[in-house]
Amino acid sequence: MDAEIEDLMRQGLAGDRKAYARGLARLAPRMRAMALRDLPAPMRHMAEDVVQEALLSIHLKRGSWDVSRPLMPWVRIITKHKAIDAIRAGARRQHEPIENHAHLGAPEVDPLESLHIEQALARLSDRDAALVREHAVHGADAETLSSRFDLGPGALRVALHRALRRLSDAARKDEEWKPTT
Amino acid sequence: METDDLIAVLAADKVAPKRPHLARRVLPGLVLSALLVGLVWQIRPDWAQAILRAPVLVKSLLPLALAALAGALLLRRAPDRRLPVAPFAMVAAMAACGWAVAVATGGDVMGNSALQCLVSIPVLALPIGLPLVLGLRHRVEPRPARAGLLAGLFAGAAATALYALHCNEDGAAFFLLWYGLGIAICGFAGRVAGRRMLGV
Repeated sequence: MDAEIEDLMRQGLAGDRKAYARGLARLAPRMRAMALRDLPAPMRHMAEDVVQEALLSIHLKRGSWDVSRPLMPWVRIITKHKAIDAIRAGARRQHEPIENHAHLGAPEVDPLESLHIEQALARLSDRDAALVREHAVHGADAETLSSRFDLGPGALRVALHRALRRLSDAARKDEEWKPTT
Repeated sequence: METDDLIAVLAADKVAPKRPHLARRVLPGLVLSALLVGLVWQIRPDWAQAILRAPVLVKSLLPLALAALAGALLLRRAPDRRLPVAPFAMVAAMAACGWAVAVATGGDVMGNSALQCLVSIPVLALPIGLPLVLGLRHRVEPRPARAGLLAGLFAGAAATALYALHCNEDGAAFFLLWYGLGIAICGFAGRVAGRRMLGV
């Protein structure tokens, strides 16, 4: 139900993190359906990439959602444009297959990979990537993380937020990325 | 990374959401530029009499109208926000026609302060345009270049309206060209900034 997701997101914006996580979790399947509709058949395997990038964008720009207006059209715009970005990036790759440039020594590309966020993570600094991964795998146990990264609680909070911003930028600037090995 | 893991990370981010607050961000910049015009550039001494003459009225109100239009377009809410450039192209075309007529009837194109005008408008636009683009970064902009262009046009037009308080060149052959170019420079700078800084 849209209204239910909207309520959860409103509570999330008001600071209820559990409601926020539940809202995003409910949003994800809806966005997956949108992405599958937006992507042409040969690119369906990228749907999860589209969902993840759109989730990142929704998170970073959630302050611009006007809570008095319906959530879904706003989510729809973000998901649609992430799908368009994916299609464009795919088209670029098709125009210039890396296999035509064997002398560059690029690694073999698995045509079925759907690891865009993973690739973007690989382009972050070690600390940023570790911060994101730790939060993903072990949840947010602030004390352990504080000692592990040698950061105070305030600094840890800011460091994670900046890491997410950089992750979003790295995912968006896909076209500037060249494999180095 | 699995989507559920990503959601866990996003929910762990405790930094409060950033709101665009465009009007609130731009207002101090407008005040700063107005102060700069009043204190550094200085308002022309004969402003009160000059503003009653038609060309002076045009050179003050035209940029004001452009700024109002760009501002209103930028302030509209997603998702039904469209950012048309046709109205600006039309104003530019009309200004170009007016300029051609003014030149043909012997207007002075170069004046005494063409360069000063071209430098002043972007300088005065910066305190307005920069916070505007920074605010737009927190918004979903499906057309980043165009949003940047409109932000630049807003800042340039607002700066021009302020600069018109100082400038004492009242010939249409002068101000339609140099004001127009000044605003266009700001629009172009905004477009470049938008492409780099804005997006979905």
